[in-house]
Amino acid sequence: MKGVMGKILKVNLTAREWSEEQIDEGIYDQFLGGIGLATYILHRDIQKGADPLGPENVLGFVPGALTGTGSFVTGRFLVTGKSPLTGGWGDSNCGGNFSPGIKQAGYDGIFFYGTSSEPVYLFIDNKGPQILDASEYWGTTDAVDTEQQLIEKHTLRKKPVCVTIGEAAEKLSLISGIVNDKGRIAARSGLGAVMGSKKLKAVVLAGSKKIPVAKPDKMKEISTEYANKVRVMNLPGFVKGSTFPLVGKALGLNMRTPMNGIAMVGIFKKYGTIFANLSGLNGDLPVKNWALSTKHFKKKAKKTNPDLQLKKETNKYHCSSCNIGCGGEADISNIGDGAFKTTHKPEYETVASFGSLLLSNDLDGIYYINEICNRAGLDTISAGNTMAYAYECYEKGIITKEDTGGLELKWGQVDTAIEVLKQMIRREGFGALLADGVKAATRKIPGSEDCAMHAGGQEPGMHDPRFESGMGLHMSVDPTPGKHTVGAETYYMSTAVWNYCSWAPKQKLESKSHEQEATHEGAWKNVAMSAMKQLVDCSGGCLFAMLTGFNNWRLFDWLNAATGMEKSGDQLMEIGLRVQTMRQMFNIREGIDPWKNKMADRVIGRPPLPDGPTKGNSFDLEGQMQLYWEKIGWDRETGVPTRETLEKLNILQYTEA
Amino acid sequence: MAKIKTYPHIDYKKCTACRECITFCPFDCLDLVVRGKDSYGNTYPGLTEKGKKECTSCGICAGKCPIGVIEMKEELPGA
Ligand code: SF4
Ligand code: SF4
Ligand code: SF4
Repeated sequence: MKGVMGKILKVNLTAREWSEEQIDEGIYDQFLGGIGLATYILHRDIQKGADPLGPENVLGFVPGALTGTGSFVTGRFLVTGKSPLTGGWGDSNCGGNFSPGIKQAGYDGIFFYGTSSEPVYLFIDNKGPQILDASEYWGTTDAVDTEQQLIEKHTLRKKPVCVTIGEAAEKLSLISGIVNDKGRIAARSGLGAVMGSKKLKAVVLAGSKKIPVAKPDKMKEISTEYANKVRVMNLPGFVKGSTFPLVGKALGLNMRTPMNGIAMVGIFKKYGTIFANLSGLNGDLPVKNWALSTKHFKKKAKKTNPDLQLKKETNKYHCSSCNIGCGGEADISNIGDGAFKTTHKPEYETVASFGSLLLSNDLDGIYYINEICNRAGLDTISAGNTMAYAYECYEKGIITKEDTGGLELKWGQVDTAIEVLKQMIRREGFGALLADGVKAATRKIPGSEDCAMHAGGQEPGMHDPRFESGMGLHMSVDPTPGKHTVGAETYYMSTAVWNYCSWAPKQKLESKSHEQEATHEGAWKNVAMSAMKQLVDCSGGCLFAMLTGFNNWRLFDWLNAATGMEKSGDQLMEIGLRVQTMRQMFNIREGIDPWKNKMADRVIGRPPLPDGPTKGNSFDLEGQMQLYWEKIGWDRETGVPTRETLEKLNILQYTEA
Repeated sequence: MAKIKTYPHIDYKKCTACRECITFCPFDCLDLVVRGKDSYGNTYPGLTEKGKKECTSCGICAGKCPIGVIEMKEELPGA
């Protein structure tokens, strides 16, 4: 198959050896690449019951099948491994510039086995891999500075790309991630701690191998069409930051409609995700540790107007191969103690998790926190949720000044949050209790369970299931629970996936009242959602491009043109189903009960909010989970994939323990 | 006969700032050095000072551009 490199690199850190493994054509045919390939390797190479922070865990970095083949918005990579946060399948999708470097080094994946006794990093150039000493960076140099220094050190002919970990991961924080390009993080699933446990400080890649492409002219034709569409999609001048509460209201109407996703591009090009700072006032934005409706944040939200963030922006930022460019860089030399010069524009997720979730609108404080988290390699979503948990524990008297070392955790106070955050990263004082996220904290702070919002151990992304029940379903049913990126009804309606997949229900113009119930059509949509998202993660794609619609961002056609396959939409979607089922089987093998991945009651409206735009909302989560399981071919009572499904997807041989 | 030296010229009216040309230049000759005229504040790729000296005229950047908006020409691209 073209598009891929045909082999992976396996690095044994215990023995300080590496070897290459050729991957059979048949494996690519079944799993494509990216996350799909990782499910095959990790099922095979991680022993059942492996300690996520022990030498038995395998940490994989995989680019997509489309990365570097001439398609757009397909330059992302995934980090994969057994998650120390959830105890099950862990993956984290990341932008930045690292992904094509893996292929240019000659590989469709780099997998780390064992544990080094001393800090090391992996360096690969065209001469091959070397495992080098990293002790000068370990414990002394944050993720961003380490990247900078290693790039300088290894720039000969070609400037390398690099992933690193910071202090949080070195200290094995279960909510730490892996950083590239000065602060794009593979943040979820706690995989930073896995890298930390292996004493692997960085991976530096400087290869320039050629990536084979089956039909370059066809690639160019599809890419040109997409570029032309994206180029002309600009927001009309009257759309300002202050317009977004209205946009949010429109999204909050009791209506679903098939929409041309390309319309989203104007918003992404100008604002990126931060439009949701204000559109989220429709009920999507969680407030005060998920306890209040957005009504209670409406006034404060004005200070998080996305236009204020644009003012701080010095430059747009594009991940590798991205023609949208939703990111930005900001000058923060005037903020706080002036410790940092620049930071990536904080995403909506960060603005919410350290803003409304703490009842704060201190944008400067959030920029500062963003950079602290980027440098330490901490997941801002999990860290923000954990902070809000601590604030609530303090408010309720479950913890007092005695526990906090004298700090007063008052809602709205970001300065205190900064202090606690620093302690969390250093694993010192009060912060040590919080360093591993909410679930671990509840074991140290008795009686605090009701304040801890998570699904299966992972804290939820900043989109409220009481606004959109599909979000809550996917946060509960996906093998990496708690993520806001794996599915939602609002995502579905702009993908036009039904044009490619015969069994994916076409989005009709309809009321959305029924979404609170479990319906057969809703379940099919949710299954299609999972399958397409996994296909995107096999390809190196970005969720935001997916939201521009497959009829515009022609992933299915690019995949065939890049690889030389001639697969129908249904066949490609079957790969997505296969990957989703492999991920679920990993959890089953590790003894995870799928019911236990259900999102925390408060987050799904139990009890419902008494006021605001989502007043009274809750939904039949259990019924929806069961119907999802039934449609995808997992047992509707237990969530365990049936033998028939494993046979049909031809993965019985990979998943038998 | 000496090989004629050519340099990448980017059509900035069409360039998407996707960085693929930067990623795949084997000699690190391109970087985001051209401030765009769009209203978004994008910067676009161009030959760096080092690149102007060291570009090997290999044309890989032109081949890798997803939409083919790099043309190899004999003169150095202007600022
Ligand atoms: S749309 Fe944004 S997040 Fe996605 S690849 Fe482009 S710049 Fe990165
Ligand atoms: S022609 Fe070759 S060396 Fe010159 S900028 Fe393009 S890729 Fe780099
Ligand atoms: S590869 Fe082409 S479209 Fe992309 S930045 Fe370079 S010149 Fe522009």
